[in-house]
Amino acid sequence: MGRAAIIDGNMGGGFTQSSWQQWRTKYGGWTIIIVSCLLPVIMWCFEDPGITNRFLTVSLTMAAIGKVTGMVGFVLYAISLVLSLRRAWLEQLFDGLNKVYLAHHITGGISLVFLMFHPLFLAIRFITFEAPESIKAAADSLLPHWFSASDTATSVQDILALDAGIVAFLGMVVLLIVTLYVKLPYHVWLWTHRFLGVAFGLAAVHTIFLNSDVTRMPVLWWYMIAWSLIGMGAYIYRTLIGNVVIRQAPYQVREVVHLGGNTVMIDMVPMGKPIHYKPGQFVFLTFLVTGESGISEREAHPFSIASSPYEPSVRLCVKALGDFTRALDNLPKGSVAQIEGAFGHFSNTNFPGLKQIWVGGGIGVTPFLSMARSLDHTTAGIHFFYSVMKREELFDQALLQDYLPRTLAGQFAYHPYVTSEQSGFLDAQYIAETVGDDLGEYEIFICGPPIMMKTLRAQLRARGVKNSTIHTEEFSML
Amino acid sequence: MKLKHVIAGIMIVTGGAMLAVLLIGAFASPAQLAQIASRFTGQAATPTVQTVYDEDGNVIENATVKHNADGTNTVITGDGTVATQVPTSNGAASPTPSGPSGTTVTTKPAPAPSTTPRPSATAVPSTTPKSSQVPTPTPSATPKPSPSPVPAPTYCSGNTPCYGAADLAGHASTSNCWSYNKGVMFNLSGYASRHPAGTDTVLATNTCGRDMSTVLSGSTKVNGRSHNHSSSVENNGSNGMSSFKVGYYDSAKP
Repeated sequence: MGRAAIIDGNMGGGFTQSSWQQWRTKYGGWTIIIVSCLLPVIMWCFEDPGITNRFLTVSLTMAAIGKVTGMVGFVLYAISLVLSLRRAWLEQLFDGLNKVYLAHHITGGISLVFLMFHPLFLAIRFITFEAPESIKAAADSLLPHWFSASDTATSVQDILALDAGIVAFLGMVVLLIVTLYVKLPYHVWLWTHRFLGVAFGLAAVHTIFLNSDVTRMPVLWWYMIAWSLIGMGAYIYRTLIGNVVIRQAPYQVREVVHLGGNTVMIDMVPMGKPIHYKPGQFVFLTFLVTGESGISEREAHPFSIASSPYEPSVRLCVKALGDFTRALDNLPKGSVAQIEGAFGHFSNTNFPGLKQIWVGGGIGVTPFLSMARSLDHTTAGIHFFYSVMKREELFDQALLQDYLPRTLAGQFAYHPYVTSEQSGFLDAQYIAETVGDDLGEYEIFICGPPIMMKTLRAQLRARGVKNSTIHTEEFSML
Repeated sequence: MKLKHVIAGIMIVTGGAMLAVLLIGAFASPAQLAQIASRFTGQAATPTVQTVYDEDGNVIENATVKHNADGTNTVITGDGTVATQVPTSNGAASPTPSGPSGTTVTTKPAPAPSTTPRPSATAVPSTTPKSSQVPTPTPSATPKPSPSPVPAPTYCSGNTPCYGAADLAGHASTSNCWSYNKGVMFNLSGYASRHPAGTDTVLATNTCGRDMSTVLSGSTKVNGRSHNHSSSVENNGSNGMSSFKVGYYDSAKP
């Protein structure tokens, strides 16, 4: 069996995306998000007393804004939980897991904004300048309530649901402030992030059980119940029972090689059924047994694969950037890890038969090493720019400088770029002059520091390169 | 600008607004609230159309009374002249002359509002103020014999705007629903969509155009169910219905 056949059979490579698939991966996910948010608003508009009666006065308008932001914010909250799932079908909708996580961040952030507006507008609707004391009613609506002896079952339910909403709101605000603005060690951050699911559960109680416009319209009510279940289901699946139900492949560390530049290469062999992956993809790695190395166990971290899918082992290149990656320097042989994946749409195999430019910066070279090791004679032609700060940071030179240019003569051109020996950073002009062709004819892959990817994309676009032909792997989002 | 910076800005603004509402609502006195409101409305106090009598019991027409934050009333004649100040007596009228200048403040029902009634009515400026009826600081050497005062009938304990049974009857349908509780009139058509139990519960035929006090206390059922409410709601305290107060109700008013 030839190598190309293995690509087609094993990894789904060698296909051409249909226009529907292209549309789905580019816009599918966001279309679903927008429609999901608009649906409850449309239903609510048709609910008695009708859209025209909801904006008759300033007070009613404030109430309407408060209700709409509450519904949309809740749906976005549920969606952000769904987007925290690492599932292949999400990658199909968002063009890779990194973009799924980007959507997770955006929906979570916008949800927070909407849910901040929700109580504010519902409170200020009470305020009228003709009756200044009405601000007390507004303040009262923002505070939790206690039961009294005269409360009926209905009012007890309302009080409980209102208080659940207030606690959920405060919890969400505190947790997202921690998430967005406080620099915590990864494991502490992860621990706090898990409580967002609890806040969502309370928000769901608030949404479903508080007598409101939602409960008055059965279709709307069931719609919100559905999102409550979807959101809670996603949270339970990912966070509470993920270790049990999500398939992870056990691997054992065979070798740890220090590559220089604070980088180690971890070589691992499967202890059972191996994972399947495309060149350029990444995995989530969770160490189970690491001896006395001090490496945090039971913490999943994303890493790009440097090996080719045709090799029996999986190799990961890791640069010491955080606490966890620094500790990997001491990783002992024989350590056991679980691998979940692979993920990502950053692969040359998605564009077979097309000329490609690869730009790797620093540790961002890793997915290109995987792609390079998987190349065969069907390759259409590749220019590989490998940018580092110092010459000693270049690795795998035997493969890149000698083996591939020799075996794939005329199809693989290697261009190392050592910044300290040049007058500046690698830029689009250098790439264009080196390639000597119209850059618009190439699919361009870039992986490296975020600022490098952002700058190069802007420079390439300024030279008329279409945005859709520029592919980046956003490591910062993982 | 990054998304997280935009979110931070919105969080600070919305969080600050909520905190302001909570603090002002918790600590500001009614007088301070009136002052805060006046900064937005541009009025020192809420003007009210009232009937003002001079010490002889004559009506001072087109006079406007402002309730000041310090508890006094300022009487302004139709041409804008400040005529006198009298201590307020809870906004209600006294049938006999009182106060340092002998001026009596008596409320007069304001005209019924058309579509969106407000709790307070506005003053109607006079084009030809009757100077003879405006009390002056210079006392008369020989006071003329005063006619016997003709006290205007007082409804709603002098609170305005005041509505009677005829007014209420005009709002007795579910599409135009007013109802009163312990002398306070509410526009339930505006409020209904906010009621936690639903629009149908509020716009019920045994509520519109009627006394809702027994509905609020739970002794009268609506749509087959009785609904208990907090004492604040039962006694017209601050609640979701407060902003839909349209005035006062007096069954004696024609």
